[in-house]
Amino acid sequence: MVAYLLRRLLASLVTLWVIVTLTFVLMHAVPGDPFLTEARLSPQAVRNLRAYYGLDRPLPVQYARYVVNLLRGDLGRSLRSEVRDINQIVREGLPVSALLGAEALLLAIAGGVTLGVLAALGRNRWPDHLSIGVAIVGISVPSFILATLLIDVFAVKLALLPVSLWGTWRHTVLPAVSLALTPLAYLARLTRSSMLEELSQDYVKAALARGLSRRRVIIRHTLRGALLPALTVLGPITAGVLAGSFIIENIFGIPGIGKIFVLSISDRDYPLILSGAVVYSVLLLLANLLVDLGYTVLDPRIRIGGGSR
Amino acid sequence: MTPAHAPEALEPSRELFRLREGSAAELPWAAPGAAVSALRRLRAHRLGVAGLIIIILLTVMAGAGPQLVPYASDEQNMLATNEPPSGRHWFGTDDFGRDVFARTWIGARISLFVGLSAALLDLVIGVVYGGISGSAGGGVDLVMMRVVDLLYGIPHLLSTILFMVVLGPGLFTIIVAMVATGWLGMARLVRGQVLLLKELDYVQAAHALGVRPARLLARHLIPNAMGPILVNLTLTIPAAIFTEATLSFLGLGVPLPLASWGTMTAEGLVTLLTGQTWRLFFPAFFISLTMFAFNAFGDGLRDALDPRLRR
Repeated sequence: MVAYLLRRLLASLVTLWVIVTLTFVLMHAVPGDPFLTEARLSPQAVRNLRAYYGLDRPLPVQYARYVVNLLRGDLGRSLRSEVRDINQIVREGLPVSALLGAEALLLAIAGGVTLGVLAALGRNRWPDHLSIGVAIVGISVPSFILATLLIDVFAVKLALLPVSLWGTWRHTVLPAVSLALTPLAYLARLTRSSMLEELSQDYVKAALARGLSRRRVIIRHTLRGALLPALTVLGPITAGVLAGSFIIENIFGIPGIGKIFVLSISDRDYPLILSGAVVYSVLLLLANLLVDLGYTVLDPRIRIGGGSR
Repeated sequence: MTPAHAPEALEPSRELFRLREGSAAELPWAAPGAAVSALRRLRAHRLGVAGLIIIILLTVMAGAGPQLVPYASDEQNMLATNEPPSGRHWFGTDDFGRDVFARTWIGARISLFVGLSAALLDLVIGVVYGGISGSAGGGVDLVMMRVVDLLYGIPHLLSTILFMVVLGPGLFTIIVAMVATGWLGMARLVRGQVLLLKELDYVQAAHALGVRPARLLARHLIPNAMGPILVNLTLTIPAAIFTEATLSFLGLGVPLPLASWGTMTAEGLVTLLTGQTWRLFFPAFFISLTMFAFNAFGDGLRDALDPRLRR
């Protein structure tokens, strides 16, 4: 188990290194100079700026320095934004994004699993039709369109919730719902089919025959088996929520790292773009590791590593 | 989403078809019996059929739509800005007086073009890479798949955005940026299929008879893996359309004078407050419709081609 975890951790680190290197190379493959667009700078000023950011050094030196700084936990300095220290930018933006992401994930998991279980239990009745409707909407409607729709109905027409920005819990409702719908729909479909499969297993019939109540069998036995497939897709779902936050944070004007990242791209703020890629990758790799861990806890049949058989 | 009324009676013919795979049929999955039963199963999948019909209609309108009105998609008319839908402008006009109907179908062209080309490029690269990896096996396979695993860890939207930064905005760069990591899934799928098929007797027999690996791959392995590949292809198209719309919505995609559904939606956002919501409604509606159609069709296709996967 420990050996397996260590191997996974190592693999994640290698992936991270590849991402960092690839992003670094890509950013330096961009034609042009970040300071050439700046209006009327004296050659001396440009030289000073380049020296300040270390851009006058040869590329391998810049790369080595970047990696060493990353290892020390220093993300570097932004070229454009008001706050120059990227660590501070991330410190301010990350909690916002994390709160939004966690809310959306919780909503997706709780809603998706509940809907899926209800759909399976009430097969071909209204919970089932509802889950199919949600699945169709969730798969067809992109989050940015759902977000505009929600803003139109709940913020503009009904004036129940704020149109945008960040502050109280009321600000989090619409963005979290927009982020959550697609994964919710996906989870509902998955849970429905695995629940149906689990319900048709022999052990369910045996338990019922022995006189256990249906409710007890479902809660104590089938649910656990039915939740496993849902757990396996949590990694990709987290990735989807993370990527979705790029868009949702921009629509709602939420000061999270998703918005900062997109802004850094239109600003051509290369150090910030690099950091955005690194932060997102770390979050994603962590999420995947956690999912793997959770999997072994929930299903003792899975003996990872193959050693202890 | 899957109505459970594909006739079970079709199972035996599937079995038959599987037994025949060992025979000399060139494209066994497309052998008449199999194709007919797959078609019949597809026809029983109501959502899948609806998806196919919508796809056909959308394609026709993408071709003919812009010609149906006497306005070019980028033709400005400052005397007729923000007009609501009417007999003259079926979908109304935007704030530059451009005809939203013409723009919507130009947007459909862009979406379909991006979706199809990205999916086809993914297919070509994925099939070649996965095919080689799977049939070579051993160390080659190990190395090739480690590379895929590594790249697979990179979030797709992230890598696409990064490539867009480097390549600059544009229709073709969007496709390149998406394919840069999009082929990985297809490569994995094809490799898995090839590994499965490789163990079948008729492949072993062909191998024993001295058929060269490249020919074995092209003539026997890939054609037999076509079912899952086709399904994956159909499901890649909406994903690519979605990515293009998202990037364009964020202003990182198709450059501005072009009318992508993503940019039209982004431009239409202000109308939530100013009231010309038709500018938002039409692109938003047609993206959703397209996504639905391709996903539903892909779903139906999967159920038709591989009844074992049916949920």
